[in-house]
Amino acid sequence: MISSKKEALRIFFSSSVSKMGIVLLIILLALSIYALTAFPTEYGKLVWNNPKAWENYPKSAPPSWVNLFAKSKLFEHKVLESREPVVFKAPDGTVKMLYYFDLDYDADEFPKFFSMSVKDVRYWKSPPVITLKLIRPDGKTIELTSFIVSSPRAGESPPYIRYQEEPFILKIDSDVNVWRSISLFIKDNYGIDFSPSEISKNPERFIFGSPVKGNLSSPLKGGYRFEVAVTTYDSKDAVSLISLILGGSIYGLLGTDIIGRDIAIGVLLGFPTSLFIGIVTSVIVTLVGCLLGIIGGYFGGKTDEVIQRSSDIVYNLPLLPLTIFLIFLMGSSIWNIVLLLIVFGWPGLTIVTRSIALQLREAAFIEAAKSYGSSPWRIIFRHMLPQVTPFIVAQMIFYVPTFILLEAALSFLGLGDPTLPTWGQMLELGFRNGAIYLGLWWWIVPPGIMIVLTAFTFVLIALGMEPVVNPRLRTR
Amino acid sequence: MSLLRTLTIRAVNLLLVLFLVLFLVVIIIGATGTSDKILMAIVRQEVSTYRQVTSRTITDPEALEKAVETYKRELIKAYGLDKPWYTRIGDMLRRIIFLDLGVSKSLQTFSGSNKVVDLIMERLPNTVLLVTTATILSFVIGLLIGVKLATAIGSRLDRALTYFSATSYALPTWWTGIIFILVFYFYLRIFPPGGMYSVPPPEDALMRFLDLLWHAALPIMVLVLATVGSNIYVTRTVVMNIAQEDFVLAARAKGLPEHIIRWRHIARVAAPPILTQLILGLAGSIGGAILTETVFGWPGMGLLFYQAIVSSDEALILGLVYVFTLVYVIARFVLEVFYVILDPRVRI
Amino acid sequence: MIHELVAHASRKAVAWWDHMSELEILRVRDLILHYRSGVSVVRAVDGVSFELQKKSAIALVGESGCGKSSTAIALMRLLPPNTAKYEGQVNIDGLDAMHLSEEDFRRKVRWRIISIVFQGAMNALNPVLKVGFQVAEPLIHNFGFKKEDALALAEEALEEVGLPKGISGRYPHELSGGMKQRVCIAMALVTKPKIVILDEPTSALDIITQANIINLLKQLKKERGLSYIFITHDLALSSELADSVAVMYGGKIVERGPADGVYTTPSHPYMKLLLNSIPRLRQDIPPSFIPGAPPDLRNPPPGCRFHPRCPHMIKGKCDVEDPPIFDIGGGHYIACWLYRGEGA
Repeated sequence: MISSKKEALRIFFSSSVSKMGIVLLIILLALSIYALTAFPTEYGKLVWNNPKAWENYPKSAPPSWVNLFAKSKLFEHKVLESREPVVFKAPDGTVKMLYYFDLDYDADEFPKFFSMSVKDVRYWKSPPVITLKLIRPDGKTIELTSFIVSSPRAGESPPYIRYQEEPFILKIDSDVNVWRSISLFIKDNYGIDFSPSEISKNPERFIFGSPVKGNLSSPLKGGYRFEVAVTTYDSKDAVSLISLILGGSIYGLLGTDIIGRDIAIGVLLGFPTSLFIGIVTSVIVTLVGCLLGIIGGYFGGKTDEVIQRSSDIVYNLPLLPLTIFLIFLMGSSIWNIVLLLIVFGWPGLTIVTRSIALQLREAAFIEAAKSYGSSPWRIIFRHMLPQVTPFIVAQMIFYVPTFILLEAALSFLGLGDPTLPTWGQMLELGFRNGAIYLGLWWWIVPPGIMIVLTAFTFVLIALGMEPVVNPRLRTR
Repeated sequence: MSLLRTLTIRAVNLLLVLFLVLFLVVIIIGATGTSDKILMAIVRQEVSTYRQVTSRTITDPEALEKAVETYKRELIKAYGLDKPWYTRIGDMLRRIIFLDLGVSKSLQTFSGSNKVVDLIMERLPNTVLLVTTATILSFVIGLLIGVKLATAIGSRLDRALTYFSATSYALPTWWTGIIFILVFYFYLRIFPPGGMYSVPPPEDALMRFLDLLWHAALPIMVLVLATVGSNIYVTRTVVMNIAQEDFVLAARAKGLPEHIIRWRHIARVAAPPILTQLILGLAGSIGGAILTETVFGWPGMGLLFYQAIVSSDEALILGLVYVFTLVYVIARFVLEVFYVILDPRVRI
Repeated sequence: MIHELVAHASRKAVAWWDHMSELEILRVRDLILHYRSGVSVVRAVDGVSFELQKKSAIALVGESGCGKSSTAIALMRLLPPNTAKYEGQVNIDGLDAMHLSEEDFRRKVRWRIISIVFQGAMNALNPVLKVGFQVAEPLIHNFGFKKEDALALAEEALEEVGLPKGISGRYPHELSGGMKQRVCIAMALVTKPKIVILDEPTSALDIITQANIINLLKQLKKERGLSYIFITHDLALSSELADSVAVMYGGKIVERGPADGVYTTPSHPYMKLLLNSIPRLRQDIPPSFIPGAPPDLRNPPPGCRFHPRCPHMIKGKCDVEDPPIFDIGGGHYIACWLYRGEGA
C-alpha cells in the first residue's frame, strides 16, 4: 500500500525510465502548444487540404539539408517577399517604388521555374507600371519584363483596386515578352543568337547561367539582385506585396509531399491531434471502465451480472475488423472514431476494477463506513476509488499509446477524419501514391517516427509507474 | 471439477459472442439499408443470368423484357425485399453464416469466380499461414529470451530489453512494414516489395516453396517484431514472480534436480499467464494481419478487406467481418483449451 | 592402582563422549548467514550453535525477524541469490555438511536426512500439480522409485497424517489450510528422513486444527523416532513438543537447554522478560512488556545484542563485548555477562 502521493512520486522518479518519459512528454506538449498557437484552428480544412495553397511549392521534394550529403548541390526552393520598397519621388510627380530581392546562388542546378506575384495594387490616377530587372553576379543586367496594371474600367472610381482576390502572376516559362527580352540580352552581351522559342524551353538557364549553344551550362553562382520597380502617378498609390518564387528541387525541414505540402508543418500539426485523441479517449475509457467495474463489484447481484456479461462479450470481439466495418457505415469523423474506441475499449478496465472492488467490499473500513450510514455512492467515490487510483492511472497512461496507434492504423487504411491532419493520414497518402516504391523516404519516415516517439513516451511513463503499483518490482 | 465441463462452458460462451456479434451486425446493416443493397445486388445478378439464359429461347425483345420483369418481381417477393428489413433478420443471419452473399463488385479469384464465398475461401489460408507462423515464432522467441532474462533482472541486458519491449509496443506494425520495404527492397534489394509469389511463380515445388518463404520473410518479420516485445516482457515478469514463490523454494528443498525445478515448477506454472498474454494479443494479431497484408500486398483476407473498403463492396465487407470474427472465436477457443489443460485452478 | 583408575575413568569418558556423539544427530557450530540488501548486509544468522539429539525435539523460539527461519534456510542450504556470507560447521548424522558439494548436498542431505515443512503451507504447494504427485516427487527423482510405486507410498503417507483416501488426486486449491498443512507434513515424511524442520507449522491455522496437527506430530515422533527442529514464536506451543529449547535474539542464540530448565528457570534477561510478558489469566498480575524494539540486523548494537533493552545491562561490558556462551550446568547454556563466573 502506498502511504502517500509523495511516496508514489518518489518511487516513480527513482527510475531512469520515467525520467526519460517525462522529458519526452514535456517536449511533446511544448510542440503541441506551439502548433496550436502558431496555426489557426481552421488551418486543416482551409489550407492543409487545399491544393491551391500549395501551388507554388515543389512536389515530392526532399528536405533542403539533403544538400549536405549531395555531390552536386540541388537548388533550394525559394519564396522571396518584399513589402517595403525604397521610394523615390521624381520632380514630375511620379513616384518610383523599388523592391529589392537578394539571392545567394550556390546550387549546381537551375531553378525549375521562376515567377513573380503582385498582390493588391491600389492607384488613384494612372495605372502603375511594373518592371522586373535582374542584376547578375557578373554585373550584367537583364530587364526581364515591363507591364502596366490594367486601366480603370467604365463606372469605376478611385481608388482602383487590382489583384486583391487573385494576385497577378507572371511566369517566365509562359511569357513571350520575357523570352524576347532574354533573347535580346544574350545577343547584346554574348553575341549568340537564340530565338525566343528556343529560350522558351528553359528560360532559367539563360537568366541564371552563361549561355553555351547546345548544352545546359552550369549556373552562375554568386549574389543576384532582383529589382521590381513600380512607377506610380500618385503618392497615395500602393502595392501590398510582391513575391518572387524560384522553383527548387528541395525544400524545407522535411521536404514536401505529392501535393507540395510542407511535411514539417504536417508533422507539427499532428502533435496536438494525436495527443488529443490519445488522452481524451484514454481518460474517458478509463473512467467509464473503472466506474462500471466498481459499481458491478460493489453492488453485486443483477447489476453486476449485466455489467459482467456485457464486458465479457465486448472484450471478446476482434477490434479492428469491427471498428473498420462500423466506421465504414458511420462515416469517418474523429468523434465517430473516438466513440468506437470507447465502446470497444471499456471492458479491459472493468474486469480488473471489478475484482479489486470485490476484494475491497469485504474490507473492514468499508464495513465501517456502511455501518455509520454512508451512502453507497459516497463509499464508492470516497473510499474505494482512492484505493484503485494508482492502478487506474497506470492503465490510463498505458492506454494513450494504444489509442494513438489505433487511430493511426485507421487513418492509414483511409478511414481517418479527412479534416484533421494526422500522421496516419500523411502515411496513408504516401503509401497510396507509392512513396515507398519511389523512395520518397522523407514522406514516410518522419510521421512514423513521430507516432513511435509519442507512443514510446507514454509507454515509458507507464513502465515507470509499474514499481509504484507492483511493490515487488521496486529496487529501493 | 471437470476439464470437459469447463471447456463446454467456454465454448458456449464464445459461440454466444459470435452469435451476438452477428445479430448486432445484421441489425445495423438492416437499419442502414445495407442489407437491402446486398440483396438487391444478388437479385440483379440472378436476373442478368436469367436474362442470358432465356434470351436463347425467347428472341422477341418485348417478350424477353416482360419475362425478365416477371422473374424479377418474383425474386423480390421470394427474397422478401418487398417487406421491411426486420422481417428478414433470420434470412440475413443464415446468409452471413453460410457466406451466401452473392458476388463481389470488383474483385475476382484467381480461378475467375467473383462470388464472395469463393473470394474469402481462397484468401483465408494465406492469412492463417502468415499469422500462425508469426504468432508461434513470436511466442517461442519471447519465451526463450524472457526466461533467460528472468534470471538477470536489473542487469544492463534486462534494462536494454525493457526499452526494446517498450519500443516494440510503440511501433505500428504497418509503419514498420513500410520502412522494411523501403530499406530491404528499395535500398538493399534483398527482399521483394510484396505479394506471395513471384510473377510467374516457379514451377519446381522446392523453388516454389523457397519463393514463398522469400516473399513471406518481411511480413512475418514485421508481425513478429510487433508482438515479441510484449511476449518477452510478460514472460520475464511472470517467470521472475514465480521463481520467488514459496513452492519453488519447497521444490528445491525437496532435493529435486535443477532442471525439474526449472521446467515442472517454474515454466509449467508460468505457462498460463503467458498464454493469457497470447490470448490478449489474438485480437491484435487479426488487426495486424489486416494492416500487414495491405502494406505487403499479401493476398489474404486482410488485403481483401482493404480492397473491399476502398471499393465500398458491402457484401464482401460483411462476409469478411463474419469470417474474421469466426476465425478469432475459433483461435481463442483453441488457446483457452490449452489454458484450461495447463491450469487446474480455473476448472469448475 | 592409580593408573588403573585413571584408565578406567578415561575409558568411561571416551565411552561417554562416544555415547553422547552417537546420540547426536545434528551439531551446529557458529553458523553464519548474511544477506545483501541494497548497500547493507543483513546479519540474519550470526554465529548460531546448538545440538540436536536423536529422537528429540528442539524448539527454536524468538520474535519475528530474529533469524529463526533463516537458520532453517541455512541448514537446508537454500541460499538466496543475495547471500553475502555463509559459513560455519554443520555435522548432520556424521556428514560434514558444509564441505559437501552442491550436488552431494542435494542428493544426500535434502529430504534424505533433513526435510522441512514451510511456514504457510498455502504457498508451499505447486498449484498446477496434484498433491499426491508432489508428495511422491522426491521419491521418483532422488530415490529412483517408479512413478506408480512412489504414488502408492505417497498415498500411504497421506493416510498416515490423517487425510482421507483419494486426496492425492486433488489439486492444492481444492484443499483447506489444515489439509494443505498435513499434505506438507506427509511430503516431509514420505522419504523417512531423520530430522524434520517445522517452520511455524500451525501459525496460519485455527486453534482446533492446530491442536490436531500438534498431536499428530507428537504421535509421529513417538512412532518413528524422528527428531524435530520446531521453529515458532508461540512459547506455549513450543513447550508442548520440545525436549530442548534454544532462544534466538538478534541473529544469535542467547539461551539454550532442556525445555523444563529453560521454561521454569529462565536465566537470560530476555527470556525472563518474555515469560513475564505472557498474560496470566488466573492471576492478578498485570502483563509486562519489553520496552524498545528488536535490533536492526543490518546494524546490530555493539556488544550484546540485547543490551539496549536489558534492565541488568552492565555499562562498559555489555555494550562493548559480545558475551560468549557460558555453561551453567544441566545442559543449560547462556550468552550473558551476568553469568560470567559460572563456568565457561
